[in-house]
Amino acid sequence: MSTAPHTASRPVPEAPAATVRTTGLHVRHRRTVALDSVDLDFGPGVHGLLGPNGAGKTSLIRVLATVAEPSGGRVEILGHDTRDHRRRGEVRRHLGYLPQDFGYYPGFTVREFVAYVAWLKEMPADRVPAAVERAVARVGLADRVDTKVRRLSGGMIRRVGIAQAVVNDPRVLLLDEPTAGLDPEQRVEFRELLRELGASSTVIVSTHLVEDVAAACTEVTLVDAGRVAYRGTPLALAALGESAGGPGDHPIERGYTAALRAHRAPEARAGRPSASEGAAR
Amino acid sequence: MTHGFLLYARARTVPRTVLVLVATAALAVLGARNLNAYLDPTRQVPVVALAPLFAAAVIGTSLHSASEELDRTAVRPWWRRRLVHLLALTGCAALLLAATVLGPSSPFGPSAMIRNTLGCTGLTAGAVAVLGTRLSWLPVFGYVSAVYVGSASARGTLVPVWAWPVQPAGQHVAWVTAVVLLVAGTALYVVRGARPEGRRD
Amino acid sequence: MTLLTERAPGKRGTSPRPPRARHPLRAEAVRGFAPWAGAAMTLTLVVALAAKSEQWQGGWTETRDHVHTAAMLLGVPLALAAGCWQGGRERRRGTGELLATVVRGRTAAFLASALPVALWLVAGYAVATALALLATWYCAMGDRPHPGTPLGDAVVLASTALTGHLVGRLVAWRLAAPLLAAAGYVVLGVVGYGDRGSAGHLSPFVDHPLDSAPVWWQPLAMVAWTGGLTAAAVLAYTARRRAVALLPLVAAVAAGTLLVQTGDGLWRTDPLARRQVCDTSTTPQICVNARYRNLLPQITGALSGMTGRLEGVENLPVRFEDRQGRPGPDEVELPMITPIGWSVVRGRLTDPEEYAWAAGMTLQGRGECDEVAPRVAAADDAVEYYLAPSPLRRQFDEQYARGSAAERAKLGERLAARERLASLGEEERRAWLSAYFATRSECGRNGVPAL
Repeated sequence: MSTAPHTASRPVPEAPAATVRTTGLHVRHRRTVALDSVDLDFGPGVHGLLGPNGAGKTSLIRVLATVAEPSGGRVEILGHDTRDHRRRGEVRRHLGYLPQDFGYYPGFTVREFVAYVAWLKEMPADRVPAAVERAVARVGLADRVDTKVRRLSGGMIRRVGIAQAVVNDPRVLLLDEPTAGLDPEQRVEFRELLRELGASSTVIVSTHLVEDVAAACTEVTLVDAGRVAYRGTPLALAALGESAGGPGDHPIERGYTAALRAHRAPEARAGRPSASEGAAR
Repeated sequence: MTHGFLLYARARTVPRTVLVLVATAALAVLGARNLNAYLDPTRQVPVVALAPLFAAAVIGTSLHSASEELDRTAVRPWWRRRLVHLLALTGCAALLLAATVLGPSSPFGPSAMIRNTLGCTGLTAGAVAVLGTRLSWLPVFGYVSAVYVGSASARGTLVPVWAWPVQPAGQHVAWVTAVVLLVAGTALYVVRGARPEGRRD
Repeated sequence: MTLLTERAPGKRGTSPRPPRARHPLRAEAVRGFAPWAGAAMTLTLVVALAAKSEQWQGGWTETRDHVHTAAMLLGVPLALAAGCWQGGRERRRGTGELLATVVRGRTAAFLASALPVALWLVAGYAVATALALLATWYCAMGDRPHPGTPLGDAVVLASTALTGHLVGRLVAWRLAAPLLAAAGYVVLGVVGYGDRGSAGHLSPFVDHPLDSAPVWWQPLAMVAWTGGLTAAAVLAYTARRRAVALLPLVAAVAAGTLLVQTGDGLWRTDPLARRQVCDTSTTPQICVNARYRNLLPQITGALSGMTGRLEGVENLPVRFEDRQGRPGPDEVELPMITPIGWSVVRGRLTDPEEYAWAAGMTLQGRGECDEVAPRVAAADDAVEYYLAPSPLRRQFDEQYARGSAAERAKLGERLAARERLASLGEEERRAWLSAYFATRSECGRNGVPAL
């Protein structure tokens, strides 16, 4: 990826190596193609994954999370090929994942649930209690740490999901619509957390909320119909929106619609300079 | 109206439930054939006690609604549908199971089968209202199993009241208990509906 | 760290709690469904056993058999259903997605959610078994506890819980749990009580005669058989290298072959049941099966009136015996102790008087005669009355007194005979009784001395 200037307050390290790389990634669900030869790489920072429903965002996140197997192509995370099951354990040790449909055990307390996930991630037992405290504090649930999950509201449960994803201080964090169900104040706080996490690790956030992207992401990847439609910084996307004049109420929103239209217009695709390498083909 | 009713039946997976009930009856026939009940009518007790139990469990879990939040906003009164739904399935199960033990008159014949189906379904319907459909089979399962195991050595005037599933057909008190259970359970379910469940199936 | 932590500083400040260093798996063990499953197991078994407590309390063999029957016929279906329910948890809770990304192997994750239920079920079973053993211990009649079968059953229960868990993972049907339980109950019942040949010995529950006991390695073979099958199934489902499952499968097949090959040889008569303990100070001597040796003083006491009156009398059988099979030529059978729950309950004779009467009747030995001459019947009645009258004797007499003329005459005859036997002198009576017992077990009238 490029080391473009970004809107977040913190600078990313210079020229970081790509921690996540996909080459010619194909994902098929029965007969429908979810991802079609996607080449992407992500380095440290916060990466927004935008796109219409059914574009393949969740498929991409699931493949990166090693939940789903790609039907073709290569996924490399932290230098390991995820098809190699001996390496997969090493990859997963440094992976955090919040599924779109986050399931939990209602009878567990927040502390127990997060500790359980930590155990499943093979964290050393002596480090687990402190890591749990820290993760729970990071999502602002410190005062609810011994409350059973079933007593929490929807937004709090979402935060429990984020806490379990960050409990092992992942180097690659995959969040599928993490802000769904959070109120505006919580989202503001969540973006702050994202920026903090993005300083050291690779955070990939799938979302529909362009404000989140504008505020917290260092880079935007727009996916449409299984292909990468656009890659660039939020600023560049906003600028595209201003110049191309797509419909929308927010600069990024306008950029989003403009980029989608440009990607969908077949004749325009070949010569567009702002579309990244993944979109070409 | 008819169309709506058909859609309702499909929404509640009534066709599949009826199929499972038919399968239950088929199993009961197999079981009854193998017991050589002509030697001793009490040999038929396992079938007469367990088949209605399973039919009731099938009916209980089929009272599940996949859209309970939505259902509560409906304009049509639910209680009538619930009543018809429950009674139709109960009647269907009772007839099917009664047919499985047709034959030479036996104290554990169709009459006992119908009684047990009614009683077990009543218990299950009550459990649906209290526990939700997912676990509705548990109380009736525990109760009938306990009676089945424990009543063998029990003596006393109250035995027909609580051990109704294993009484011969002539025992009127057992019928009374079963009907009371049916009425109470049905009323509870019809008035309150199934208890809302957790988020997922 | 972030501003998020600033939201609730007050609360944490006032009650500083050190982070508890509890193992993450503790939550799996104490939260949710598992403890309830264990409690249900205890409750089911305790209720089932308590309902029939008269029939096993006091006898170690009976206790073993009843606990085994309850644990297999009720516990196994319960364990199947509970395991199946727990197995459907990830589907109900939607945590499958999350679990797919964990570092731990599939087997570890599977066991983390399946073992708590299995262990709680075993704990519930252990509590019920311990209660039953305690209940027997305080009124034990001899013999000793038999630990093999209960220990084997515990493993069988754990295996069935894991099997149920596996089914719950694989089958997404609301009725899977009750259906599995019903199927388990029916299959165990049919195989256990029906005659299914040697293959029936593969079932963890096989009905067997009371005085037989499984050979010592039968529980071990059963553990290898059920545990091996379960381990093979679990490994085939969870392990990445499926071939690993072959190892337990081979063990299971070997154990299963052993069980089938041995067949009925798996059960042999308890050696203890062939022995008896005797009180030789009485006439006749009193012997009790070694399994119920602690009953000997009670039985001797119950029969003491009779044996006292028989002192010096000749032609009596040498002893009351209590072993399998027919008594020897000089022996009579001790009135039945087994199956316990009738004449013996919780290590006590329920009715010593009636027991003594039954013993007296076996001494006369005319129970199998079709018809007895009136004179003989009167003599029998007098001896019966003298030795150990039935507790119901007065009732019978009153019934006769209210009956027809023939019955009243019969009663008069009997009362006279009793009177005459009572009025005889010590020596005279001894001689008469010796002559009388010379004819015991004979149905004809010849030889029975007149009274």
